[in-house]
Amino acid sequence: MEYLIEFKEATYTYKSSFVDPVQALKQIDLRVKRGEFLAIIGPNGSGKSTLARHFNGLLTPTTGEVLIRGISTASSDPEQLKAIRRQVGMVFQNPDNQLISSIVEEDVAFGPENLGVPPKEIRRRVNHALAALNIFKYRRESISHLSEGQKQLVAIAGVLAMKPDCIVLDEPTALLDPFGRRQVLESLKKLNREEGIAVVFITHFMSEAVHFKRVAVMDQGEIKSDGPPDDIFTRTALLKAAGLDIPVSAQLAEELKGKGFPMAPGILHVEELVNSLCQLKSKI
Amino acid sequence: MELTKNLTLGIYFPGDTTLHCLDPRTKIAGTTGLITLLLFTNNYTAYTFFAAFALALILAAKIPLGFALRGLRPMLPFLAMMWLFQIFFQKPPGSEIIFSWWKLTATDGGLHMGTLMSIRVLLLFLLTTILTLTTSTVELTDGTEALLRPLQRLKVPAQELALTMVIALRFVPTLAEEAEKIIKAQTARGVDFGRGNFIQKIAQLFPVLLPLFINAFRRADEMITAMESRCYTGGTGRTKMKVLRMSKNDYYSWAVLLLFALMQIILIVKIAPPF
Amino acid sequence: MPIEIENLNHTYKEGTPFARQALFNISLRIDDGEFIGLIGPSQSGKSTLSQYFNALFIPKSGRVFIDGKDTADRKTDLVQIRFEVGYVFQNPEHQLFKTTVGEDIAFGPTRQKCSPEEIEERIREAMELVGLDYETFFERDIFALSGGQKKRAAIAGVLACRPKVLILDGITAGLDPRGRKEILNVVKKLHQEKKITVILISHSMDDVARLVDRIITMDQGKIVDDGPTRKVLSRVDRLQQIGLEPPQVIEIMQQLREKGFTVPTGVLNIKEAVSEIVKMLNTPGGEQSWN
Repeated sequence: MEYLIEFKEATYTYKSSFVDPVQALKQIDLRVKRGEFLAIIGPNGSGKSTLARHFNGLLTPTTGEVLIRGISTASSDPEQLKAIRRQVGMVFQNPDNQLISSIVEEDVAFGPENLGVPPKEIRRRVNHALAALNIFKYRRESISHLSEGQKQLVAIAGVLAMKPDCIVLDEPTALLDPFGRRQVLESLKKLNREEGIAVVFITHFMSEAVHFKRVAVMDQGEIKSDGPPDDIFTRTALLKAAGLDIPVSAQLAEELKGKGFPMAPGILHVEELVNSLCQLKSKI
Repeated sequence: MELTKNLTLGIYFPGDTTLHCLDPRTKIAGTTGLITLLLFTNNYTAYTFFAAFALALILAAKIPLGFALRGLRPMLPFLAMMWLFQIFFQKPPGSEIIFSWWKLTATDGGLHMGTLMSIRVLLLFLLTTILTLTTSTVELTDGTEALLRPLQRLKVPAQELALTMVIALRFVPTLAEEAEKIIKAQTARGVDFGRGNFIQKIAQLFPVLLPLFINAFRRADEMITAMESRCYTGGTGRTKMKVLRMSKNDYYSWAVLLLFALMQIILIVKIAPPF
Repeated sequence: MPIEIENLNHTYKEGTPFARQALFNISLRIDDGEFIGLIGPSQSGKSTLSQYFNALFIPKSGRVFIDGKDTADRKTDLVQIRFEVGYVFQNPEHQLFKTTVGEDIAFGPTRQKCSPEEIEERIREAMELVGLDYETFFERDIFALSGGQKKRAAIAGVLACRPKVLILDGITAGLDPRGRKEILNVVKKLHQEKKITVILISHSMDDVARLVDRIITMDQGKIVDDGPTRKVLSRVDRLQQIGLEPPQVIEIMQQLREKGFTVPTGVLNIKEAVSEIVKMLNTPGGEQSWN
């Protein structure tokens, strides 16, 4: 089958006249299918933001290539680059620096306006995007009066209005409080489920990555591991080496296993741990 | 300590009055016209009439009067300085000396010039505030862009200019908030803002402006990346969600404006300036 | 250097159509040597409140006493109070304003009119406390620092003033797990070794729970709960009501209790949780209503 996004042995080296070149990405091979729900997790400086900027051609690989539905992001045709950026929407960490207009609905319209969509269709898309993210009632609100979490939802709505196949989010929750984080995560789950949009979510919060169907761990410019979360998060040695947290439930299960208790494999969530303990207790 | 409190420029005051709903082209062209008129106004009667009209606009937009006027407050020190300067250094022919002090002499002509100029600046600021309070930044740009479009043939990048304006206005509250944070963070480290002589006060501003500018550049950089990601490639091929259309109210407004302008011109021509 | 707050109210943009009351009738006392977590969702008023602790805000309604001195009193030396109650802001870049780390840390002591020898000594001490090596970082350009190093430099700049109280706002924001652990260890050391009163402001329970002795939770401008860490954390439903996530160990213990197991709720770390669960598993019939 055709992949939505394909990294083929992509490397990226930052060159500057002041310092030695830094290789931020080393031999990245990554494939994203339609409708996937993927988290990329890694410590600061692991290259995850550099990776993010390759998804829509903001950066192009020094060697190797990145294909969006078979088209290279290094394409020099501006129309193709536009098509790539429409298909792969991007949301950044700081909502204040990516919202263009001061009014919610007018910001959401910015993308489709750039695409030359007819006015009536823009209105329809904007309303749909606002409703899908549950912020329709704020449509005339000034952006400076919204909470950080709501601002981030506006940014996602702005991408959604371009009808993308995939949304890439570069640490979108780093500046949010727990409530804002939950809002963003729940909205993404809904978009993935109901609209079939692929989501690539970059974070260093383990507690967020456990919600995804596939997790890739990045460290020192490489993808160290890639698979379903219950597989990834039980590789404690790998996570520790990258300086990442291990989910508390997994940690507890591991400790109990070490003490000789036969815990169920692949425990990630609180419920799984509690259920496993219930079974254990009933056997004793 | 709250810097953003008195900020009215770049803030949209949501509402659904006629003034809010007018075509932005009407509002921008109208404001420009009024400002031009203001520059020619030169007597107290005409200024009073003008101020009454501005007041009527504020009331019509249902903006609390105190809030609209509060925005003028930060201007007052500058105005006071300008006013004093005019009193002592402007000596229109035929004016008489009111008093002299040290090597300075004040004339009645200078006093009138200073006062008229101060009123002019205040009204100018008030008009701009009314425009920005009742018009969202995007409407402002759409309007400016539409008005500048005929100039596109002369290679004036109307779209780009308009967008630059949107973003600049969009960042006024953000940067003000940031300046406030920086001032607080530095006050917490023992910088005593607002104390000392004039030069010391100016010197205190540098450590605030430096991080503010550095952050502003970073923001601009991130903003450009975000715009590129949202398929912005310049003005060509863009459409608009909102299509500008003149309504009945716009034509009525033009009628009112023209009537006002006519009366104002009569006042300007018929009444001699006070110096 | 106790901090006392009495019936404090605060309204932003007072007298404008955008007015918003951020604090409602807050009363609070913070004693010497306390280690406090001030926790709440964004817009809950925690940052506003904490800015009264070092006289960045002066009360218009209510009273604030720092070391017995009324901050609204014109005779009170506010600059002195701000040296004694250090405040580290979320974004270290707002606070660092000299070119090199050393110059920046020297700023406070210079303002305090310390002798060159004393300044030198204080810089060394502050840098050591936050774990920035003197030889390596003294002349380092501020812009060449990583996010975590900037936060440390900001703390060092405040520590050099020898504060008795240290307020840390969003100290872990934007840091990855390793960076978070490192900076929190610095804070712990400051409290233990220097006996500084520490107030950690955060919206993340996980970071704070392991460290502090007392937790104050806020929501919508009011104090929701205030008490010893274990007690506040065990009231899980109250935390969830205001949108805060209790630390996961607490949630696990809570769910085990709901299933009828006898485990204590006030458990703070994995070690304690493991030993409690082992105890529970090894006690025959330790459950109450398991069937």
